[in-house]
Amino acid sequence: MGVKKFINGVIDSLKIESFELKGKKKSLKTLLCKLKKRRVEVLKELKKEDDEKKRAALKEEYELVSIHIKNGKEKLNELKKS
Amino acid sequence: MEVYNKLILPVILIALAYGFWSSSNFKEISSGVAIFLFGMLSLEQGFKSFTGGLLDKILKNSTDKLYKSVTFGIVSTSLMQSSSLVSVLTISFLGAGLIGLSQGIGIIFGANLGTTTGAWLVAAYGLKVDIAAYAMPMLVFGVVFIFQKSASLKGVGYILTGLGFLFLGIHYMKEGFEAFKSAIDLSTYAIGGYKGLFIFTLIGVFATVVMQSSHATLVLIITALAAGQISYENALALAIGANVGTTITAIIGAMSSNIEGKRLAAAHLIFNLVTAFIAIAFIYQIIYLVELVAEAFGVANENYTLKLAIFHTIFNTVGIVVMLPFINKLVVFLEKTLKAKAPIDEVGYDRVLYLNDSVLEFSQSALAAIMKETKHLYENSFEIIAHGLNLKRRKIASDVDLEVVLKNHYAKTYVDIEDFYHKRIKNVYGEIISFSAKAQAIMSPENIAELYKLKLASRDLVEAIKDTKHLQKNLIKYSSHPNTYIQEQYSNIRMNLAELLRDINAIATTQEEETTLLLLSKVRLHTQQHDITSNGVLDNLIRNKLITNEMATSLMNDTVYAYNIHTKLCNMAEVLFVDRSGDLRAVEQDMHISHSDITQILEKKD
Repeated sequence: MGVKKFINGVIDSLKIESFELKGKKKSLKTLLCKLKKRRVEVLKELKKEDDEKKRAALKEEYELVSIHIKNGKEKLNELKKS
Repeated sequence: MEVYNKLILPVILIALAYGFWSSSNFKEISSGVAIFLFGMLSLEQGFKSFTGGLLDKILKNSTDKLYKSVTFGIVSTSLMQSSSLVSVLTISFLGAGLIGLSQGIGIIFGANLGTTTGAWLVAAYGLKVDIAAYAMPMLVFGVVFIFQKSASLKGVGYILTGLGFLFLGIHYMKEGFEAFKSAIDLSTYAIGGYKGLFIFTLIGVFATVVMQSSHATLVLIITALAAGQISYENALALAIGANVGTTITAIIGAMSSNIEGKRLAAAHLIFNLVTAFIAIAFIYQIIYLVELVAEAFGVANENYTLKLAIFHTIFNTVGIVVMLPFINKLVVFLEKTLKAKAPIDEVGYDRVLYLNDSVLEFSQSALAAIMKETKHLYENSFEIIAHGLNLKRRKIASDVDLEVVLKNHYAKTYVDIEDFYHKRIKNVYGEIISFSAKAQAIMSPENIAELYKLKLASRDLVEAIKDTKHLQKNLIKYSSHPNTYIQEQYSNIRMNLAELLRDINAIATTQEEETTLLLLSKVRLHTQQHDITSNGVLDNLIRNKLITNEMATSLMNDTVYAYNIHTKLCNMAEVLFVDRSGDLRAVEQDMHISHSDITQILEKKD
């Protein structure tokens, strides 16, 4: 039996969640929090901004943050299932 | 080294041959030393097998504060029983820029104290227990493990055989001195007072320089002391000498290192010389302290081997206590006295900053050094691309509006990118590629995969410069062309590239992972957005005959060059500036925006 196989066997039998998976989930949650905070900030700035050029840049940032939040949530759900 | 090979080595070999011929006991002691040293090599080889992971991570994470560095030095040396391995590892990490000089010095100070545990082990157990009985099974199991395919098992095998040989070596030394005792009494050569102290200190230095292991010298001293072949006072002097002699390993290791490695070796020598000076100057006070400690711990009055171990620990501790407050002053002194060569030589050719043979000792430090050097290549490339677009680097990195930045030209005439490339890129890029080929030999498949990405990042940088060079010709030609349509297109290309450089610079300097992620997505989005061959702008210009056919061909080609610069710099930034060691590494790929996301955003914009 390979070392990795043995370790996986021990983790399964003791029902211990993999540290790696736990770390990934924690980091992803932190990143999602930061992105959500950023989205709120961008939205606030967007409401205040009058300059067309700056508004376009902020709108673009808002779109990008939203896509990342969506992708991040999907990945988090995937990790939770595994 | 030349003198050593030509003069000292033959003298040592002749002396050894004479010794073997004249005394069988000397032969036994020498073979004990040889087996012991071989065990040290095997042990170091075994620990090196694990340096690609655990040890490197611990070293990186546990040296941010001075007390942590010192503790790391003590613990790692106590566990591995080799201050040499810890010194070489420290020099290697220092050479790769993974740790700073003061942290490195802290580790070396700690290693000095950690190495004293060897004396304790040998004095307390090595001489009382029949350790040869343990040596044999260790050697057998060790060799069985060495023949296994798994790198970890091989490592364990080397550690076991190393320990086996160490035990066997101690056994032979012990036996040799015991037998020697009946034939000749070396203790009659004992010299008392300060005269003896100096002479035996020098002998200790010489013996350690020859064997390149203070551990081996100490074991030899302890076994000789246990057999009554040397006096207690002379054994103390030999131990002081061994402490000074051990710096030779760091000095040899630093020869192939960069200036930081050389400074560390100098710090090691200074520390050990100061410690030796203190030990010699206050020898009688330290001996008194040893007596007090021995009494407190119930060490028998005539147990000189344990007293030697106590002495060794006390004088190294005193050295650390005395030197620690001056560590920052020592760093300043070393930085002033040992100066780095300028990264750019008189002719203006740039040199590599992090690639040296010392980092090749460990795969992790080699990888880190190549990463740092690729970042150095990025710095140079950034400058060349900015100047190639006639932009000031400082202005790009600032908050100044890009329209103002574009008007603020770097030079009156456009710079010669070819000349810049030859002076600032070619040599560094070539060195990265050739060093990577050497480093690959010591790397695991995972590290080789990382190395491959770094090589691609270097290639992307070089190609981005070449694309800038191709683009530059028409940028000059059409920037002031009477046809305002073509002038506007080239002005847009320049503006978009300036924005790209600003974003890449922000990615390179930010510590926030969400900022990195967003900027990378922004660069990807803009790469598609600014591609006028696909967004219909070029077709419109041709269809409405706003530009000539020649202009259209140039614009089409140059758009491709600009597109390539965008793509290559974005790919490079992803490799160099996204934390690849964090937990996000595996999920980061799923977080990026996809082509369909980009299309969706662009459609909304239209």
